[in-house]
Amino acid sequence: MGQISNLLTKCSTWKTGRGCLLFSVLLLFFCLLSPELILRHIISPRADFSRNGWWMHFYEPSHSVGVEGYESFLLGGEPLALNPDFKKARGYLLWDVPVDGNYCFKLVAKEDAVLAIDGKQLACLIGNHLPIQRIDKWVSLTKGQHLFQIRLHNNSGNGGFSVGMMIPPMMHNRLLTGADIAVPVLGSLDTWWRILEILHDGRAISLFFTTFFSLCLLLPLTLENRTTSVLISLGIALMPALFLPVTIKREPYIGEMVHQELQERKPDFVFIGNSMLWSRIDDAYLGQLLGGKKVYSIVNFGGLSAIHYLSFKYLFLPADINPKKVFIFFRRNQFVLPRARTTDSLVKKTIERLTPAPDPLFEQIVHGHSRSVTDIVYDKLLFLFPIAMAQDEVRRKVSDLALILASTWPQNNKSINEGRDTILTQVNNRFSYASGSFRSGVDSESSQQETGKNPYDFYGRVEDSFLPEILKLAKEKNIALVFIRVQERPTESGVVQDSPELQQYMHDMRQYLADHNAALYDFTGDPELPLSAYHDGDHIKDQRRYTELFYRRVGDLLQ
Amino acid sequence: MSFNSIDFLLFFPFVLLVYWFLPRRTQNLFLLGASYFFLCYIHLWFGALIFLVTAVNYGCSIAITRWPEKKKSFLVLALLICLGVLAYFKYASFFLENIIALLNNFGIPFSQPVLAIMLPVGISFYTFQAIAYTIDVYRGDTQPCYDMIDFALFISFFPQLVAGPIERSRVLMPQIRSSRHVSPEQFQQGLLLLIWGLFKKLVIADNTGLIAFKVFSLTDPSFFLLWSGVFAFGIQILADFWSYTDMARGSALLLGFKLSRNFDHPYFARSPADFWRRWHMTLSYWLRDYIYIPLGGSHVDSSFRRGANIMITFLLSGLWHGASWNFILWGAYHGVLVLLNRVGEKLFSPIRILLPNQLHFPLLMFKILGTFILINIGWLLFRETEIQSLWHYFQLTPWSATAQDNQIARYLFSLTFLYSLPVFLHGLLYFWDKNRRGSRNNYAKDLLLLRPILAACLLLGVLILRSPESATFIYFQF
Repeated sequence: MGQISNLLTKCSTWKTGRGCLLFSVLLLFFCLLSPELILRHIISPRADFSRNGWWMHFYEPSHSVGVEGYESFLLGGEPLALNPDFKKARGYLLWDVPVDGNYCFKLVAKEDAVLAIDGKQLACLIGNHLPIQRIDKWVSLTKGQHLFQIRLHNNSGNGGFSVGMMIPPMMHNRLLTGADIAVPVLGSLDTWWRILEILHDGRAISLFFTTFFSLCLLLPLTLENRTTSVLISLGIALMPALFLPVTIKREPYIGEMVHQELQERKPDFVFIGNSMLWSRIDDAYLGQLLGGKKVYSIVNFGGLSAIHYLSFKYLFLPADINPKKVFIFFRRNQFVLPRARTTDSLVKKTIERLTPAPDPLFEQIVHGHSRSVTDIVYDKLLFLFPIAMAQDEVRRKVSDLALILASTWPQNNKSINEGRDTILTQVNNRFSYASGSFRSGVDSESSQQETGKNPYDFYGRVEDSFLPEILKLAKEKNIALVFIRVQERPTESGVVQDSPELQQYMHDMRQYLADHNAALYDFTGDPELPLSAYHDGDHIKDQRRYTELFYRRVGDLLQ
Repeated sequence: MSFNSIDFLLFFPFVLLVYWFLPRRTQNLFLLGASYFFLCYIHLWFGALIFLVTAVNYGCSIAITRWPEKKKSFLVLALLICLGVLAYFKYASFFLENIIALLNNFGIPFSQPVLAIMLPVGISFYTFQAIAYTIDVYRGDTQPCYDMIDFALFISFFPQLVAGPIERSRVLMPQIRSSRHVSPEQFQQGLLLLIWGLFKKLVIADNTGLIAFKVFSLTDPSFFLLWSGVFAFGIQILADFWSYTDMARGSALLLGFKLSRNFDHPYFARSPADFWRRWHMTLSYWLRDYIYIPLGGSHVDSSFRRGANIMITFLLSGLWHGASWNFILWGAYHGVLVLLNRVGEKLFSPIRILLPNQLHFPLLMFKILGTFILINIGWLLFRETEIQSLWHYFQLTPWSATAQDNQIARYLFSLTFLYSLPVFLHGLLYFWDKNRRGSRNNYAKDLLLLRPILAACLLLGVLILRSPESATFIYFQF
C-alpha cells in the first residue's frame, strides 16, 4: 500500500499530462466500485418492505421478496394528480442457480406482469382487470448467478402477482431463501465477469465501450497534449456505459390478441376510453340491457387522446369488424391537448404495447416534428446510458426518505410507517385535480407540456391534434363514431358549470364533429349525476347504475 | 440553445474540437460565428439585434476617443440606443399597460393596444455589458477595441451570452486579444464545472421547481404549505441561476477563458448587504459602479441622500429583473433590508465587541439563519406576480392552517431539503476548504484526487436523480 501511495504521490506531482494518470486511475477505481454499489442499493433485493402493497410470492407458503414499493405519488415522475390507485411495482433479485438444468417459472397475475431473466423476457401477462391469469414457461439456466426482473403494472383496484418455480432434479416447489439471493463474492474474478455480463445484457457494444474506456485510461501514459484531455473527457462522459443494467426491450404489441378477441366476439358496439369509461360502463350489463347485443370495451388506464387514437388505429381497425358504432369517452378539452400523458414512463410502455412500430403521426404531433438527427442521437445516448432507467426507483427513495423525515417531525406520535402512509395519502388528495384547488389556467392533466395557444381554442388547435386522423380513418372504414363527454366531479355544492371558454369550445367541437358525420353526447349537467354518484376524482361509484343511465340517455344512438 | 439541451451537447464538442485546431486569429472568428449561431438558433432575428448593439457601441467607443470634445454626445447616443432597445423590448408593454390603467382611473377611456413583443434572449445581459464598456471608454478606464471581430466576440461570447456573468472589458477583452492555452488541470476543472452545473440544474433546480410549481398552483395554500413552496423556489432559483453560471464558466474554461464568479454561496450570507456581495455578483458590481457610485454612493453628506441612493439602486435592480410590479416590490424590499441592516450595524457594533467569544459562533449562525429567512420572504415577492395573491399570502397565519396541510408542508420541506443538500454541503466544504487551504502545500494534488471522483458521482447523480421535466433557465426571461 505504501508503495502504491508513493507512486500516486509521484504521479500527481508530475506536470501537465502526467497528472491525468492519477485522474484515470481514480476513474477506474470508481468504475470498479460502482457496480457493487448499484447492486447493493438498486438491484439487489430488499427484505420485507413493510408496505401495504405488493409481494412476490415464491410459492406457498408465500415468501415475500422485496418488491421496490409502489408508486402512487411521485413528484415529477408521475403527475401529482394521478389516480392514487394507478400503481406499478418492480423487483429485482440476483439468484444463484444451484445446478444447470431446465427450470419452470409460473407467473400468476390479475394485472399486467412481466418476468425477465438476464434481460430476456420470459413471461408476459396482459391484463386490465381480467380474471387471474397464469402462464408457465420453461427456461434453461446454467449454474451461477442470474438476474431476475419482475414488473407489475397495477391499473387499479386489487392486484398482485406471484412467481413460482420448479427446480430440477427434485421437481417440486421450492422457496427462494435469503441465502440464494445474495450479492456475489466481490473477490472472485468469475463474479466480476458475470456482473459485467449481466449488466451489459450481453451486448457487443458494451465490450466496445469498455475497451475504448480502458484505452482512454491508458493513453495519458504516452500522450501529453490536448488530445489526451479530450479523450479523458470523453472517457468520463462514456463511463456510465459501464453500468448498463438489464433492460427489458420494447413492450410486446398486444394488437393480435385484441384483434383475435374482437373477431371472435364480433361486438355490436365498441367503447374506447380510459378509467372514465372503465368506472362507468359494464359491458356485460349493457349487453343485457340492449337485449343480448355484444359490447366490447378497450380501456387504457391513464390514456388520453393520443392513446385513444392509437387504440382506435392499432387495436380496433385491423380487426376488420363492423360494429354498429364506436364510442370514445373523453373529458374537457383533452382532444386538443395531444401531448398530454404521452411522456411518462408508464404511458410510454402502454404506447409500445399499442403499436407494432412507432406511429409517424404520433411522433409528429407529440414531438412536434418527424424524428430528427437530434432525436436519434438522444435515443443512442439512452442506449449508452440505460442506467438512467433506474431513476424512478432512486427518486422514489428520496421521496420515501422525505416522508420518513416528515413523519418523525415533532408533534407526530404515530409510528413512522403509519405516518408516512398518512402523509402520502394527504399529499395525493391535496394535489389531486379533483380537489378543485388549482388556480385558473393550471390543468394538472395537461401539466406544463401544452403551452402556447389558448387551450380552449378548438379550431385553432384541432388540426394539430389526433381528432382529424381518427375521423378520417373512421370515414375510410365507414365506422360511425360517437364521442361521449363525461361529466366531471361536481363541487361540494353540487354545481357543475363550464367556463364560457369551455362552453364555446364544446360548441365548436360539436359543430366540427357534425361536419364530419360524428355525434357528440355531453353528460355535463345531468341531474342524475350528483356528487354522491362519484367515487374518487371523476370516477363513478356504481358502474351498473351509470350503465343504466347511459342506456337511457344514449339509447337512440345504441340502436 | 440551452446548456442542458441535447442541441448543446452536439454543438459544444464540435466547437471545442474545431476551435483548438485553429490558429489564434481564426479562433476568434470561429467563436464569433459559433456565438451568433448559438443565438440565432433560437431566432434568426436575435442576431440582428445583438449586431445593432455591437455596432452602436463599437462606433461610439471609437468616436469617444477620436473626438474627445464630443465624447458626452457619443456616450449619450450609445446609452440612448442600448437603453431604448431594452426599454422597448422589455418594458414597453408594462409601461403602456400601467399608463392606460392610470388614465382609465382618471376617467379617460383608453383601450389597450395588443402588443406582441417577443423578449430577445439575453438582452438585459449583453446591453449592460455593452453599456459598461462604453462608459469605461468614456471615463478613460479602458482603451477602445478597434478590432470589430474581437469586440463583437466580447459582446456575444456564447457561454455568457444568455444569462451572464456580465463581464467587464478589463476582464474579458485581454483574454480575447491574447492567445489561449488550457492545461489538463484547467480542462479537468472546466469539465467539473460543467457537470456540477448540469447537476444543479437537472437535479436540484428542476426537482425543487416542481414542488414550487405545485404549491403556487394552489388557490388556497395555507401558511406552512405556502412557505414550503417559497423555500423550494428559493432553492430552485439559486440552483438554476448558479448552474447556468457554472456551465458558462466551465465551457469558457474549456475554451481557454476565465469568466468571473457570479455566486459565492449566497445562502451563507450574514446580512442582506452580504447577500448582495454573494448573489449575482457581476450585476451587483455593475449597479454599484454605474448607478450607485455615480449617484454619490455613501459619500454624500445627507443620510437621506445615502438612503435614497440605495433605494434607487435596488429599485432599478428589481426593474432589471422584470417588467412587473412584484419585481419592483422585491427590489424595494431588498433596499429597505440593506438600509435597516446599516442602521442595525451602527447600533449593535459597540455591543458586539462586548460579547464573550463563546457567543460569536451562535451569533453568526443566528445571522445566517435570519438572513436566509429574510431572503426567502423576498422570494415570495419575486415568484408571485399577482399583487392580490401576494396580499392574501401575507395575511396567512400559522394557526389558521389545517393539520393536513401542515403535514404536507413538512413533507415538501423535507423533500426540498434533501434535494438541496448538495448545495449546502458544497457551501460548508467550500468554507472549510478555504480556511485550511493556506496551511497546505499539496492543495493542487488534492484537487487532482477529488475532481474525478466528484465528476463521476455528479454524472451518476444526473443520470439517476434528474427531474423528468426540465424547465427553461429562470434567468433566460431577464
